[in-house]
Amino acid sequence: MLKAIIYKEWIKIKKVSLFLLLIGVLIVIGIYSNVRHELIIKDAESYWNGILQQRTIYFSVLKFIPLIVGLLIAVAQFVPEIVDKRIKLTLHLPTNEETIVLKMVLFGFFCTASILAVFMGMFLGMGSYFFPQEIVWVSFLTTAPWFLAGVAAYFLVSFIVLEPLWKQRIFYMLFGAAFLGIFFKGRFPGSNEYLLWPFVGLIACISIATLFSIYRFRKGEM
Amino acid sequence: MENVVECINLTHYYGKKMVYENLNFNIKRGSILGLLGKNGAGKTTTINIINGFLTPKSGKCMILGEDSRYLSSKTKAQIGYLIEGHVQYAFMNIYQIEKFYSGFFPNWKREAYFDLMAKLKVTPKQKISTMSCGQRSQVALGLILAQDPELLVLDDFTLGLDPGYRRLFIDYLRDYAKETNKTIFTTSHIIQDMERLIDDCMIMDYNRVLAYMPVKKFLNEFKEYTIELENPDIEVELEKPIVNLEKMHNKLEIYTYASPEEIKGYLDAKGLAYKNFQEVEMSLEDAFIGLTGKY
Repeated sequence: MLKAIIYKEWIKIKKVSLFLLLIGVLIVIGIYSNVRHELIIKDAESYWNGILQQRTIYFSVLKFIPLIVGLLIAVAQFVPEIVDKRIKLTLHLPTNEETIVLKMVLFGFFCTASILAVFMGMFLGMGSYFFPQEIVWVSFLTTAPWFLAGVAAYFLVSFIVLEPLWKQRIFYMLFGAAFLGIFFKGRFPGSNEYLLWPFVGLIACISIATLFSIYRFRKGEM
Repeated sequence: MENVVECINLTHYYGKKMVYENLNFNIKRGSILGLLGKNGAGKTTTINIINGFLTPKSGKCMILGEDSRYLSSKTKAQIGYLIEGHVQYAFMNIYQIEKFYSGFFPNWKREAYFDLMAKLKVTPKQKISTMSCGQRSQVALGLILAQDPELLVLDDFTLGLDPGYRRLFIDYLRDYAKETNKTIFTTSHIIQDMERLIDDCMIMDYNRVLAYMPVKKFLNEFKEYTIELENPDIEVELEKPIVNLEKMHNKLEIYTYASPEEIKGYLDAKGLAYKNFQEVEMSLEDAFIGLTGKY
C-alpha cells in the first residue's frame, strides 16, 4: 500500500523535483564560481574584508530557493488532488483517510528535505574548499532558517491547497506569508542561531495541518 | 433479500437551503437503483453522504451494515466509486493507474481491466488527461470491474458520453451486475437509455421525492394523455388526480397515475370542452420530463 502511494506521488512530483534539483545545483555552483572569480581574478583582500568585517552574505541568491522548492513540490503534489475533487478518489481508497494523507505528506516532505539536503551539502562542501571552518559554520547558521522555511512552505502550501474553500484558503495564505516571514528576519550572518530549534518546533506543529483540511473536506465543506 | 444500502430519514441543508428532509430509501442486494433528477436536485449530495464525504444534518446511511460516516477499510474496498465526469488520476496512463490501484485491493482482477482497455485505441504511454470522455469512462469502468466491489456507486456516469459510449457503458455494466449479483446505486440527469440499466427509480425534484418504485411499475402506472382544448385560453388547475400539466396553445399534456376514464371524468366534472383524447406511450425519459416538468 505504501509502495502504491509512493508510486503515485512520485509520478506527480518527479519532473518538478528533478528540475528544482538541477536549478539548485546550478545556483550553488554559480555562487562558488562567483566566489572563485572574486578571490582569484578580482581583489581577494577586499572580498575577504567584506565577508569578515562588513558581514556581507556572499550567498544571498540562495535565500528564497528552498522556499520555492517547498512551495512548488507541494503545488505539484496536491493541486492534481483537488482538480475535479480527485481527493475523493484518494479518500475512498480502502485505508484510513488520515493515514493515507499523512503518508502522502511524509513522502513530499522526504523529497523536499532530500533536495534541500543536497543543496545544503553542496553549499557547505564547496564552501569548505574556499573558506575556513568558522565562515562555513556561520554560513550554515545563516542558511539553515532559509532551508527550514522551505520545509515549512511545503507543509503550509499542502495544507492551503487541500483546504476546500477559497475564502479560508486566502486567509491561510496571508497567515502563511506572515509565518514564513519569521524565517527571514535575521539581518546579519548567523543571527538566527538560537532560533533554529524553535523553528523546528514550529514546523513540527504545522506538519499535520493537512489533517485539518481533510477533516473539513469530510465534514462537507466543498 | 438483504439491504446493501439503507438510508434512514436523511436530511441535509446547505446553509439555509434545504436539499431534502427525511429521505428514506434502500437498495437490495443485486438490484440497481437509479436516482434521477435535474441538476441541483441533490443527487451528488446523496452520493457524498453514502461515501462518507458529507455528514448529513440528521439521519444516516448504512452501507453494507456500517454507518457511512465511519466506513472501515474493509467496507470501502467493497464499494466501487465513479465520480461525476469519470474523474480519475489523469496524470497517469492506463498502466500506471492499474499498478497504483492494484496495490490497494488484494482481490484485484487485472484481466477484467485490461480486457476493456484492449478495446480502447490508446497508446501505452498516453495520459488519461489526453483521452476522450468516452475513453476515460472506459478506464474508470475498467478499474471498478478490476476492483470487483459488492456495491457500485456511480455519480452521473452518463455525463459527457456520446450515445455509443453511453450504450456500451450501460450494457457492459448491466451484464456485469446481473451476472455477478452486484448492487448498483447510480444517479443521472440524462435519462436516455437508463431504463436499460436500472431496476428501481427514485425521481427527485428540488427538496422532494416525486416517485420511488420499480421502473416497470412506474412506466406502467404513470400515464400521459393529450387533449385539444376547445378554448385555448382556459387555465387548467394542477390538482389531483393530475400530477403535472404542460400546455402549448390549445394542446394540453396531462401526466397522471389515473386511468383514462378517471381523467375523462375529471375533465367533464370541471366542464372542460376538449377533443382528440389520446394516451401517449412514454419512454423513461418522457416520463421523467412529464413528472419533473420541462423547466
